[in-house]
Amino acid sequence: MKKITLEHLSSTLFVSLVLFGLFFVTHPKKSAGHLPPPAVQTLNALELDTDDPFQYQLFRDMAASFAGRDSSRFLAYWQQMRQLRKAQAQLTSGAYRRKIASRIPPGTLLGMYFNFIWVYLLVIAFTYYGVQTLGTYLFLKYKQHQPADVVKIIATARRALLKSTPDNWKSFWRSCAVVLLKILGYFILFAPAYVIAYSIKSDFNTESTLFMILLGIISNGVLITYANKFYHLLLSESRKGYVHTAIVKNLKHEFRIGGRQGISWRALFALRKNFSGHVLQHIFMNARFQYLATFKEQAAFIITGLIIIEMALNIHGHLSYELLQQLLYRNYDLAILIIWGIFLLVKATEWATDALLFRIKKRLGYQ
Amino acid sequence: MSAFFVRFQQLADSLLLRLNHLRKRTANGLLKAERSMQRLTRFPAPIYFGLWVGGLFLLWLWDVLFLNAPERHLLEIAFAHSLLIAMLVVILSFLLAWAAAYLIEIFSDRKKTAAAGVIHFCLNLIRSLPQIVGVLLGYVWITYRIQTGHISGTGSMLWMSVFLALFIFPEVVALLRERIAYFRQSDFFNAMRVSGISEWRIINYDILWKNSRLHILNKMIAVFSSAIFLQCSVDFIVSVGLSTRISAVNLPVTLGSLLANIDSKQDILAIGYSLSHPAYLPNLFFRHLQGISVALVIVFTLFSLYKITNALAERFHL
Repeated sequence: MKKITLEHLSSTLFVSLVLFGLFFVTHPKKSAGHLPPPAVQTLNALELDTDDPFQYQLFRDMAASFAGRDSSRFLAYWQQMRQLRKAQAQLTSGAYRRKIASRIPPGTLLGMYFNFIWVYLLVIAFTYYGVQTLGTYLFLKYKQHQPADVVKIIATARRALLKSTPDNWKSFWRSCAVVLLKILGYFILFAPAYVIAYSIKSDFNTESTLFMILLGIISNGVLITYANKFYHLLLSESRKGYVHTAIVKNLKHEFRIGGRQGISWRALFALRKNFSGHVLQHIFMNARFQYLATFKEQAAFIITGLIIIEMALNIHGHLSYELLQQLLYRNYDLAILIIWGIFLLVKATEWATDALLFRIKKRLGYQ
Repeated sequence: MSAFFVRFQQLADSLLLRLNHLRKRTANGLLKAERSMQRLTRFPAPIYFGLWVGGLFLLWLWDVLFLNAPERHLLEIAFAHSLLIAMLVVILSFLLAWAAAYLIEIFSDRKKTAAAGVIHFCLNLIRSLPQIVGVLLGYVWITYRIQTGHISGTGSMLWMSVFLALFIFPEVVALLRERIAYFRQSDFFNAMRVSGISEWRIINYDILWKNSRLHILNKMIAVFSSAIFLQCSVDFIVSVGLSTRISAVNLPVTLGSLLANIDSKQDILAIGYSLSHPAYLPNLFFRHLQGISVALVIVFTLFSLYKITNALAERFHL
């Protein structure tokens, strides 16, 4: 356990040091306390045009005739006056004002960060449940050895043509509707969040958090990708020898949903899934253990999805939207701070997953 | 009059007979179709590939008929650019992954743990940064370089692929290392080593080429899909969120940036409108084609690629 913690801690420290170095390099310097020398202030008050070569030449000649060899000091004053003018021009420019206005206080940023963590935890909890439920459902459907949807449509159409009864036509239309709904469902699950979001509403605000959570779960292919991964884990587990041994030893092994020998809907949708007495229990437990190993990857994918949602939908007052704004107005120091926060969140998830796996392995006697 | 009725009845009977015959023939045809579909669905990857290509072709035909030429041209360019970038990402991520995996294996084999550790460390660092953040920072750098005149519009595509590949390739490294580790445990690895066959040949030819081609192909399709998704998302974000700066530079048009157009957004919004006003639904296929086409290309591509990888994995137990 110490090794795991040390590994994560070292990379976190390394990245934190690099990011803090970059933060201090890009952090704007305070110049309010450094007033220019009185001579430069007096020169500036004369309202000379620093870009006019004639005025510069005149000033140079005057400095040479008054100060002789010491004239370089006055020429330095001219340069300082130019810099002062430049700084004053920058301060009054629209871009600079916007840059300053877009800077947010650290307290507000921290609030956004906690809000992001809260949303992330909710999405991760829902996807954890959703992945296992959908994956198990897909597995059960596969085990029922049902023909493909297109084959079902053709078969029901043939039956209806041969014997034109209302029931036969009903089953044909039902199988068509199921396929259409499946296609629609797949399109929603695979659609990037912004496609779904903009097809529903055009403006998003801070009150859109619930909508954001829903998008984080169902869109960007997160749920279907990992449900499919879980389904494949279940599938490969079900081909192992211990499953056949369990079947021989008379454990329930019907993969029907419902019925005395099958899996009940309640067990399938339960928060803590328990299929005791059925061979699926062992397949499920082993698959879940392997799934936990891929959880780090899923967490990073979820964070990517949430960032995409906040940025693409321009949800004001949210962390990723602010990251985009700070990049836009070149407040790189604040952008680095936000990236550091996101990095810490990923690292914390990685550490938590590794720690959980370590505990499970220890309990099972692998460590 | 009665002759007319007799003739009418004869005609009706013959029509019914023909209809019955047609129904039976259709049913027989459907039976054949059912059997061949049953055969085909045992390995549906080529079907999904055909569906993807065919679906995109049908969409293009529809656009030729109903979408105005300038917008269609823009859509074609965006699709070509997105496809090109995704292809480059596939090539670059494979090369990067292969180099990283091979170096780790060689360093570990020669007990140079520090060197292998450095590569591991770098890979972990890349994994710890969400892909979208890394790619977005890359895009900021690209726009800066375009503004300073160091990168041309076309050259930026190559850089986009480099940044995308940089944040995708660790997934491929994991697969390659997993395959190598799996075969290292088996006897044939040591048997080949004692037979004097070089490690280069064992890893690259015997393990990766002869025994892992399908795994790599499947992963590369997934990488292609990830590249399309990430690229579209970043382009969308950049076009929506960083628009004031991007307007000054010329980033190549892609599916994501085309979707971020105000016209496309209006088209997408029309989907929601037609849900509450079903009578408006037909307009989606004629008046809102640009946005709908872009969204459909993205979603349909992601869906088809998922189905292809899934079918490959199931068929070959990958």
